Amino acid sequence: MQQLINGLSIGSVYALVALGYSLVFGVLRMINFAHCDIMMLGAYAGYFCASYLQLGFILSTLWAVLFCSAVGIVIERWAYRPLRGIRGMPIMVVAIGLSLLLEYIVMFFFGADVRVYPPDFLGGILVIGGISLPVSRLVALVLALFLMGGLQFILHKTRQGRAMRAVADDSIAARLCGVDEKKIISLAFAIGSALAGVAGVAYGSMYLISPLMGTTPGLKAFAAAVVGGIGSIPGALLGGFALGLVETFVGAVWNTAFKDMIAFIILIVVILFKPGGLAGSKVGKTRL
Amino acid sequence: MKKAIVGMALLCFLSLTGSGCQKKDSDAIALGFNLELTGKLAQYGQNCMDGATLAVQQINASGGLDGHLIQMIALDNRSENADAALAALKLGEDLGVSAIIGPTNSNLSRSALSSGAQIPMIIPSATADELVPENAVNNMFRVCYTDSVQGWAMGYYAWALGLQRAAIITEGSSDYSRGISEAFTGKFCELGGEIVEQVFYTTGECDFYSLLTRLAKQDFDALFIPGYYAEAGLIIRQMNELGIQATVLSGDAFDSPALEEIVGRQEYLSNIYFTNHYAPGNSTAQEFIDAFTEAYGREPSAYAALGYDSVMLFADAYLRMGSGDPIRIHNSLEQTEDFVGVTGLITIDEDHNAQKDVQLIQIQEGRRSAALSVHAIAAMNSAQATMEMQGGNRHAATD
Repeated sequence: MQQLINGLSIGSVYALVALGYSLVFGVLRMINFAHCDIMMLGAYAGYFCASYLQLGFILSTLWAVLFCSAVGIVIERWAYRPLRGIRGMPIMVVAIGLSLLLEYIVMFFFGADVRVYPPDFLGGILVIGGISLPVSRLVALVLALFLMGGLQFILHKTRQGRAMRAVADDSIAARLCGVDEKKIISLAFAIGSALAGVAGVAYGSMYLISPLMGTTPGLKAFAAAVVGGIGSIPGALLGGFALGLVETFVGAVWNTAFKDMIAFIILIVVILFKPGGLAGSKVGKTRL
Repeated sequence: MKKAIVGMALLCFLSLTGSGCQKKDSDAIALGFNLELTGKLAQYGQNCMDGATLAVQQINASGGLDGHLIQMIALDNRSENADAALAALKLGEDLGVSAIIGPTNSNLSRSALSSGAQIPMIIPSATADELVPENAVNNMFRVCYTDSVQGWAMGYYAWALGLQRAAIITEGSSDYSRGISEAFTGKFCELGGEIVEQVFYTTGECDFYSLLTRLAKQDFDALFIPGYYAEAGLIIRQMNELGIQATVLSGDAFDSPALEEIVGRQEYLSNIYFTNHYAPGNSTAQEFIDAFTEAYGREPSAYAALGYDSVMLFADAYLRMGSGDPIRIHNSLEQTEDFVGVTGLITIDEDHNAQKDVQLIQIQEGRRSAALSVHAIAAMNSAQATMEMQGGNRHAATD
């Protein structure tokens, strides 16, 4: 039972990051490798608010979200937009370059040392029936579910969200119907980066932060997004939880040395049988 | 397409930052540094660099060595094995330095030492037993003790503390962590202790709930975590959150002023013991701590202390020979005996390892204090450790 909670709480972090990957992929058909570094920026923004400005969880998260959205918009406008329409490698190379750039900018300002959120930031542990659950983990879990719901609501019930889905389906047709494609893509980046900001603060309050902290959860969240069906919002959540649970149970009952390897073999098998991901229908046809 | 090329160029630029060439000054003594200034091990490289820089500044401020100033030529190996080997070759062959200090990490040191650069390399903190490739000329000079020595010392000390059943959490991909776990297990079991379970994690992992929940089913009184402080700190925080009670034991990579911050709560910082390179108690160390704190505004870590000692060991070798020629420095370093360093008395043995004491530090209620120093090397030969008591210590060192 404790292991189930452990798995879900790791999974919720993967899910939070995977949501952003999936959203941007769904709209643009590109993988934003800098996404995990935007999460890192969010973690540092939250850390800055919590440690230096002594703000609480909600305010810190809000500032981190605003900051990340702004960074997301800037990146999209100045790095990705000029390359739109060019197929293949260049945009990937730019994404990798941006990822390194962000890491080293943070390293320049904050140094390479790991840092920790103040202990009272989301401190406290709930013990229910012999199961320990720190408040920070509970918050991450609730946030993942809540944001997934919120995102689904935006995409399906708001005008902007419907426009986003229209651009994702067929950008030319959307443009013909009067949708401002550039604005919508900017918006998708802003929302995706905002999600990364939330994920960063949640991650930072659970563990610790460093300029390279994004790499491991970023890779795993990417895998989670693919397993869930990249481009699908519920799929991202599903993939995140699935990865968290598989990892935890392999480590708990089997072998701790090879748990990542075994977890990923299981994921590969899933992809072989369901190439479109857990929530997807056919390859590449997953729709927002 | 033009923008893409700009993007590529940016990427190339990023990967080359830090390896800019510095010109060698003809009158100065060129001392090379091959350190992890960026990348995943940057915190160790930077700490070592800070300690080393302080040493060079002190030497230069007092007029240099025989009137020659030391010029630092630092290359960043980006925490990558290949770059560590390249940096060693470049420093040795192209830049013509007298000796190289670094890398700090065992894997990177091994790669620098097998690059074939014919130049003495002073290794500050890489503790893995075998660093020099077989049948190669041994141009390594180690300022720290080895993993088998510190694992041995910790196994001995754990038993002396009255601990009997230990669980081990090892970083599976690190030679350091595996080596020290093995030496610990060897000594602890030999004395009559029992290892209930050994589990593994990888660096960068932050969530140990799953591992700890698994261990909690076992009955143990000691938890040995021979890993780096970031993970070890998180493990201590999380084991307390899960309500696991055990005496925590760790190795030299545990030491960092950031540790207390990572663990987070004062009440979690008790019953922790770890091996370290220097004990803040003695007077040479205190002078260094004061100078370092004044220069950088923070307390030095053991990596900074070892970086400082590496430069001082080089200076000592230079002064005894009066020449910066790499071969003469090599010969001079070989004859180092009872060199008084911040991290203790150093004698370079025939394998070019430092023969020195292992310091044991304890943390009780958030306060660090020197527990003991173990003359481990002498003791390993005589199979009887002599422990030296330092300042009001609670435990009698009985076998």
